[in-house]
Amino acid sequence: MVEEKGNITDLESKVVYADLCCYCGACGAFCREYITYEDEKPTTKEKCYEYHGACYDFCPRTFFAPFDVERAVFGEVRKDNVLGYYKEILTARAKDPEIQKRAQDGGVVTALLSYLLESGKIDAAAVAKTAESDAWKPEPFVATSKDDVLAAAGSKYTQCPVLLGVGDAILDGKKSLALVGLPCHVQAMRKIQLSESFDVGADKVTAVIGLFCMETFDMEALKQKLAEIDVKIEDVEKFNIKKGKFLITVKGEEKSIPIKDMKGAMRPACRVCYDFAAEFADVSVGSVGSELGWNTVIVRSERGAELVKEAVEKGYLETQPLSEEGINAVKTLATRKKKENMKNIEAQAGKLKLLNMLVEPELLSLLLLE
Amino acid sequence: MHGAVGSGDVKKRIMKLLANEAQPMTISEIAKKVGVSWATAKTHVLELSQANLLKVKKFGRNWIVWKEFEKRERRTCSVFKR
Repeated sequence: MVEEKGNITDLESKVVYADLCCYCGACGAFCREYITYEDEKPTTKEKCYEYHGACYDFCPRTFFAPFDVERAVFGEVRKDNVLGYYKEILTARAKDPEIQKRAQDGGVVTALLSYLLESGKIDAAAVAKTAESDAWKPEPFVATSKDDVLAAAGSKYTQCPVLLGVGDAILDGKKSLALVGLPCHVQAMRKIQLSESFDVGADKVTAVIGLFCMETFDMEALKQKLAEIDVKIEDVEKFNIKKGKFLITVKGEEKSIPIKDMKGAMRPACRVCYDFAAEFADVSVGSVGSELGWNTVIVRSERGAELVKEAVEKGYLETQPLSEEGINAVKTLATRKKKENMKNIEAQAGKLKLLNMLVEPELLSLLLLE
Repeated sequence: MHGAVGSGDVKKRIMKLLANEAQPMTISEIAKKVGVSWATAKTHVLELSQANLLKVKKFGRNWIVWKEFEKRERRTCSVFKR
């Protein structure tokens, strides 16, 4: 992996103050001395004098080399520039009725984690769980049983520093872990695993399950949007996104806001994200493309393929190949995110430097040969 | 007035004062800030010094008093360096 060096001051100037922080928790996961989080951002009360900090090294927004990660994790680079590297795309659902009842869609993530925990392949999973004290505020949580996993089931639509859970589990001596995260969490996890400078024991994370993600919402902005339709977040039973609508279930009644009207509530850092389908995970899971009550599953790595195969064999999952129509639906959404956000990336990135040549990204094709 | 302050209380106030001071202080400065006489301050400072809670050194006619900063090992990310 290409490595730049920086410390907490560089991280603050290049990421936090530039509104690029995705609040994944990677910077503070292994720095309990200086970094804390306030208002969904890392902050420091005291000065750290490390010249080369793990905080800068692990942050998915300081630098990220997609093809280096693909070579390291998948053994080769992608052929599909929309969905990234993958082996197969399936539609799947949990077989356990209890999981089906609690799940957001098909319960695939819950079923995979249940299989991994119950078979002893992992002893913990870092996930996001809604805080008991604060409605819909996700918190990092280390699940060690099926009950824990069930308690954390269901999608959350605001950001959670899940990597702090990975840090907690590793520092607590857990031997084998799974991570469930959004594309930003997955990128951070891969950076931690492939870091040439720091070894935090991240090879203990043996299963990385990614979730499809268009964006996450800023908690305060989300509350404001809900207030516009007379909904208090503490009354919400379920959130979902289907067919261009943000669906809110309140006391059994479903309300909706067009997703285009929710863009104002989007976290600023999500506007520069170029990954919809958690492209660097072992297995990516979402709902788009599949029937109601099923999940779309993109199997990417050898480990991911083995995990899905075993979960099917042991009766945790049922799978079918995803239809061409379903795959196209995933591609459409991924393309939309990439196209919209590439404009923001280009606007923020300025000119590209190719050795000594400084080139506007949109004019690059005028310069390079076919 | 000084008699109203318990001796344990004075010691605590001296310790707190020195913990917040970046530089060493003289007995006079301590006495003034804590609100006790020079002799009382000196007595308490010497007692605290005997208990190894403060450092004291005599320079000419002045007693210089300071509290050593607690040395706590910082666990930075350098412990994870390859």
